[in-house]
Formats: sequence, C-alpha cells, structure tokens
Amino acid sequence: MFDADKSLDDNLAAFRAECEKLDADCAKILFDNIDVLKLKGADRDARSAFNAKVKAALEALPDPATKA
Amino acid sequence: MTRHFLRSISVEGFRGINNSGDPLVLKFKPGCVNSVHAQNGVGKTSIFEALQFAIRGEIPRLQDLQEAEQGDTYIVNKFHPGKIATIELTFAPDDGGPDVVILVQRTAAGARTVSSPSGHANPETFLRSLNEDFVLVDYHTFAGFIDATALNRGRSFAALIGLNSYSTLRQALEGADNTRTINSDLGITVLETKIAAERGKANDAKVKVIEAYRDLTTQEITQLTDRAELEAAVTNILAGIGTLQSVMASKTVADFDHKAAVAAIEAEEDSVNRRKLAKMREDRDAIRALSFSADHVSQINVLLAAAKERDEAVEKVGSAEIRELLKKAASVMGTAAWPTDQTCPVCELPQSQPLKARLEEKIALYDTAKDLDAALCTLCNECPAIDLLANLETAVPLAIPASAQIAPGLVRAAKKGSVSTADLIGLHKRLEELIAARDNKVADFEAEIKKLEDTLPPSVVASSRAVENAKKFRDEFANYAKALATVESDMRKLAKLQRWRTFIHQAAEVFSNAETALSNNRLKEIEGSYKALFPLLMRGAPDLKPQLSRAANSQNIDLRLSDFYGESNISARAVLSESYRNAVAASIFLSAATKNSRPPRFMVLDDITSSFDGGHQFFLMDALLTKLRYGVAAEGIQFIILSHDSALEKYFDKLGNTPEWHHQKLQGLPPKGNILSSAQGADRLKKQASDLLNIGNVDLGGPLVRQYMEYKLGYIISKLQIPVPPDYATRPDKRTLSTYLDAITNAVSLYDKAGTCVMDAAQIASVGQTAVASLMSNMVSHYETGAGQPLNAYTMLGVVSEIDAYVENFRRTDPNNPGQRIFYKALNKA
Repeated sequence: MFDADKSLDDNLAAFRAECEKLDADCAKILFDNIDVLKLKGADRDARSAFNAKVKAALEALPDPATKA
Repeated sequence: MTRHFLRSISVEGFRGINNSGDPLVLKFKPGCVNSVHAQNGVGKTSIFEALQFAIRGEIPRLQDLQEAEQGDTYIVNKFHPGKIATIELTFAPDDGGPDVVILVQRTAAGARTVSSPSGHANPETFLRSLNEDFVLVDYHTFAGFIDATALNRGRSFAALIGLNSYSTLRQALEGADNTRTINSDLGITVLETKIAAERGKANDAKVKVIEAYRDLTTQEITQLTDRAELEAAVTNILAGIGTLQSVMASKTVADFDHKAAVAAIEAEEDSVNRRKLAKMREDRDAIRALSFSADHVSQINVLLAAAKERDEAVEKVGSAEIRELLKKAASVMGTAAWPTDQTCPVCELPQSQPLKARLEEKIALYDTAKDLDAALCTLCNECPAIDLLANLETAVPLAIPASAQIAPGLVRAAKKGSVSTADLIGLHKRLEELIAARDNKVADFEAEIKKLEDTLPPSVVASSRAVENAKKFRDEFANYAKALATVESDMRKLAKLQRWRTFIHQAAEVFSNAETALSNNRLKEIEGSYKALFPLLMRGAPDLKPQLSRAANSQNIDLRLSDFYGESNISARAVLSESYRNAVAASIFLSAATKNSRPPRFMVLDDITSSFDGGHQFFLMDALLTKLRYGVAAEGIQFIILSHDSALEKYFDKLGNTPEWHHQKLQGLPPKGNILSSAQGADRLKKQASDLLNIGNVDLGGPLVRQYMEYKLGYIISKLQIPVPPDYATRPDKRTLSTYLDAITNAVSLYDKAGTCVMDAAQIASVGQTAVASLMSNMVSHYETGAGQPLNAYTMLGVVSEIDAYVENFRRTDPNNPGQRIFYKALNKA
C-alpha cells in the first residue's frame, strides 16, 4: 500500500482509502480523533481519552438491526 | 524533492550566548566537512541547543528537568538586556534556488515566533520538514541506539530512515487497537457479561411462564412467540372460575386485579388457611426464583480469570510497595536532592542508562495491573452471581445471620476497588451451600403446602392455584419481555462496539503491514552501506559484520553480529565495547542519513567521538571527508561537527580552510560576555578585550586577552609549520600558552643556529629576549599557575599591543605588493 516514492501525505491518503473500504463510519471516527494518540503518545491516559471520543462517536451512529 | 543545506546560524540571547547586539555567527559550506571547536564552557552546546530549539521547538535537556525547576526559563540568556532569544538560520537549496532565511525568536515570557526574512510562505512548516532524526545527533543518540530495547531501537530506526511519521502513526494505531483497553474503556466486557446475565434472566422467566401455563392449561409449550394467544388462553381459564367472574369482567390476565381475585377466593371460605397457603406459596416461589444456573458458574469463572490475570500482572511488576519505592525514586531524580540521572538514589550505584526514563518505564508497567484491577471491580459490581449471593443471604426464609453473610463485604470491596482473589475463590462454594439450603427450604414449603391444601376444599385449592399461576404467568412473562428488550438494546450497543473493535484491528493490521514493508525496503537500501562503512571506521579491527533485522509483526529491530570471531548471530549489545558500539551506531546513522531523501541535507554531529581514540576519530573524519560528504558522493550530505576534543582540534586546524574542510573555533566568555567564532575575526576579540580593560574590567577582559593570544600564537604555529612536542595534539595539559611560546622560541632558535631562519635579525632577537616575550610570559604564567601579582588593566592592555608586535616578527613585506605585510611560509622559507 505504501510507496516509497510517494510523499507521506499521499501514502496516508492511501491508508485512509483502505480504512474507508473497511468501514467508512469507523474510518471517519479514527481520523477525526487519532491526533489524540499521535500528539500525546499512546500511553494509558491518551488511550482512554481517545476511546472516550470513539465511544461518544459510536453512540451517535444509527443502531444496527440485531436479534436477541 | 529539493533538499536544504545549512548555510549559517546566527544566535543572540539564547542559553549561554548573550552577544547582545553582536550575534554569534557561524557559516557553513555545503561541499565541506564543517567543524566547530570550542573548549568546555564556550558555547558549543548552546549552538546545538539553538538548532534543537529552532527545528524541534524544544530543548530535550530542559524538557527533562523537573517541573519545579522551570526549564523553560533557561532558554533566554539570563544576562541578555533585551530578554529575547534570536536564532536566524539560513538554508541553501540543493537545486540552486534562493536561500531560505528563518528567524526564530523567543521572549522570556515564553512566546515563540517564527518568521522568514527571505519571504518563505510558511516558515513553521519549513522547519518541521527539517525535523528528521538524523539531523541533530549527539553521543547519547549513538549510545542509546545500541543499548535500547529492540522496540525502541526499531522506533528510533524508523525515525532515522525518514519514517518517523509512519512510526508515530503505527504506535497510535497500536494504542487504539489495544484490546484490553478497548474492552475496558468501551465497556465491552461488562456489556457482554450483562447481556449473558439478561439472557439468563429471560430463560429463567421463560421456564416459569411455561410451568405456569402448563399448570393452568395442562398443555405443553416450548416457545412464547404468540403472547396474545397464550394470554387469551389463560384469561379464559380465569374467566371460567365462577368465584372470579366479577373480578375478571372486562379484564385479561394482563390486567386483572390479583389482590381482588385473592380476596374473592378468601371470601368464599376458610380465609385464614387460604392466606397461609398463599403466603407459603409466595415464599416458596420467591426463594425458588433464586436459582443457580450455568450462567452464574460462567460469571464466577470470568471473575476468577480476571482475578488471576490481575494477580499475574501484579506479580510481574512487584508489589504496591515496590511501586511506591519506584515513584519516590523517580520524584527525587533531577531535584536538588539528587540531581544526577546516572546514579541510583537508592543503592547509589552508577547506571549505564539514564535512570529516570527507566524508572518511568517500570512505573508504567503498573498501569496494566491497575487497569486489570479496575476491570475486575467493574465486573464484580455488575456480576449477577454476586447479586444472587446477596439475595440468597438476605432471603428471610433462609434466615442467614448477618455475621455469616459474605456478600456485603464483597460488594464493599468491589466499590472500593480492592477485591481479593480469596474472596472470589469462596464464592462458588458459598453459592452451592446456599442453594442446597434453599432446596431444603423449598422442599419444606412444598410439604407444608401439600398438607394445607389437603385441609382445604378442592375448589378453593384449585381456584387459589389458578390465580397464583396466572399471576406467575403474567409477572414472569413481563420479566421475560423486559429481559429480552434489555438484551436487544444491549446487543445493538455491543454490535457498534464490536464493529469498532473489528475495524480498528483491521486498520492497524493494514497499516503495520504496509509500514513494515516500507521499513524493510529502506533497511535493505542501507544494508550494504553500513556494512561497508563499519570496517572503514574500525580499520585494523575484525569486521564483525553488524546486521540489523526487523521482526515480522512488530517494530522490533534486532542488532546482531554475523561474524564475532567466527561465531555467528551474536547480540551486538551483549558483546561490543563502547567504541565498537559507537562505530556500529555511526555506520548505521551515517548510512541512513546519506540514503535519506528527506528535506534536510545536513547532519550536525555533537561530540560523537567521545568514546573513540585518536586513530578511530581520524577514521571517522576521513570517512566523512572522502566517502560521505556532499561533493564526493552522489547522495552525500553536508556534515557539521561540533567538538571540544583537543586531538580533533589539531586535525581540524590542519584541514581547516582547505577546499574540503571548513573549520571555525569558538572563543569568548559565556554566559555574560560575548562568544565569537574565529571566522568573525580575532580583531573583534581584541576589541572586546580592549573595551573591557579600558573600563577596568580585568575579570572579563583578562580571559579574552588569553584567548586572543592563544589564537595569534596558534596561527603562527600553523602558518609557519612550527614543530611542536609529540603529545601537544593529544594532551590538553600540554596545550598551554607556555607550550605555544616555548615551541615558537625553540624553533626560531634552532633555525637561527642552523643558519636557515628567514626572519631578520631584529625579529629573531625580539622573539628570543625582548620585553614583548617577557611581558607575555608573565601574563601566561599568571593565568596558568596563578603565581605572582594579578595583572592590572593597564598591564593587560600592554599585553594586547605586545601580542600584535610579537606577531609582526613572523611577517615580511609582500614583494608583489609593497604596501602589504604577509607571513613567512615557514621559518626557513620566505
């Protein structure tokens, strides 16, 4: 996926496209919030701060159909 | 991509560099190896830190200070009158484009501004693009690379080969994909447990509904799918009981008045026994409902597994007391009580690696245990098995005394966050005991109910049983429906959380695979280069063939030796001496830097040769000069070496100002006085010294006179190729001014006696015996030994003018330009 001849931005755009193929909603949540982990490092506090944002964003997504 | 050389740096008011109104300027040449020498305490580190501050936005040494020490307040020079640090960097593009000038300023109040006098549109972004790990390298960078863990080495290496942003993102994604944290922070484990419990409740209720329906209708059902039909059947039965006709008028089982129905039956006959019977049935049903299922067993097993995991994590890192010890040790590091990072404050033994970082790493391990403990307590708080225990222990018919109850203690411990494994181990057994007691009590109730029913008329018994079963049918159906609704709602929440968990795991995997492939390619690109460079740096020593290899599924990079005296696959970290480790690191760093295609095309090396002897220092410098620098290698980069090493200084002096080597020397009096580079001219040094002495400041002016003299005498030695003692280059204690003077005097005398000295008689006499030399010798003697009376300002000013007169002894009139004085080529060559 990453091409050594391409810039970081181009390669990250390719990664984002791959993520959107996996799940567009989750990809948006990831890229909206990943700076929390990039800027502070992925220590326990940063992971908790990131997961809190993810949880809030997931709750805002429409409910899927499920069967008990 | 256009890359940039560093053409110059100008510094004022930063760290040890005051230079108010007269910035220290160092100029660098792209095609040269550039060296800057300074004795200890003359500002070399401030230059390196100025580059760190400008390019990286921080000074690691100050960042590492304790918060109470307020490292940021030491960025601006304490004595700068304007209280503002100014760093101006000039960069030359390697495609011949116009220079880019970036100005970084910082006020004492902490405001940092970045601008571009040359008009660059986005100077901040430009500086960020230069922030590559290979750009600013010091001794600790090399040492740290070898001594680091495989993971840290891998991350450091990623940064080194220009993949820092990828490494940072990979770490971020790995953090986001931490299953334990996700399960805990998003509440997945708790939700899964809750769903299982609600499913259990739904099943229990379903069984009871089916039992009640069977008792009422004598029909067997297995599903509760058609609730309306089942309720209609039960309603018909109730409506068919004569006693209940008025109660059931316009009612169904869903909304009939149970109390009114009981009252109607009681009114018929024998109300005392009837009430007793109803109460016994109620009590029986209440405790029979407290059933112990396979779900409860699973829940207890989940708690035990979580407790075991927590206990193992705690055992791995040590006890809570050890954690407190580590925290106390970390808190004292860097304070006035224990300023050194190289010695342990507990055992006072020296440490091979900075201790504070290691302590913090160990303390962080406790996070895992802490997380697991918190997860266990959350599980306990939400655990239906513990609820069951509490309900059984407080069930009135079982009459368990408060002193024998264990549930309250367990619940309190879970709320306080201190559940012990021993408490949980006893949970299963206690529940089994209580269930056995409950079963006995239910059997007692059944016997008594049977006995009482036998005393009542059959119609009353049947009606009464029908009403109780109808109520049971209705209540349990409601419980069943409620539990199912809860399960459905929680399943929707869980589905979203699981969707995220699946996504982030796949995304992290996609990224790590791509990053690993990219990194492996880069690794392969530099492999040949560092393997070829290592034997050049360690000439004469065995070629140990260092080999970097990256793990398939992580960022770990292992550093092995392919040929350690015939042994293969040997850990470099385990067997190499310090100089070898540095040579391996230098090979890798320099190879990575020259193979890099990122924006910076320069590398600043700060005192990287500390562990090398003179020979290996030479080999390293020679490799920079002949193999790696821009101008001799297609991918070459500009090197800037900062050093305080006296042996290297002579090497720099020898090569300085040749077409391939550009050398500068720092002199001055930080942090109050100015620092000058030799390129800024000895005349400025002389002027500063004279200015200070003219206002009577001997304390500041005296050392400048000494530096001025050192510069002038050193220049004579270099220019006229005057022989010096063999240990002059390697022993700092032999590089005193008296050695300079003695070497010059002896050489002049020697050539004079041999009849080959080109100096005229007056010059020779002046060097050997005049007041010039005598005055200078007195000054030298005073500064080197402290002997004699301190020199006053007038005497010092005299020394300054005598130095210039002394230098004139080694110059002659230029035959091609009679108005010009030039140095002799050598003592025996005009």
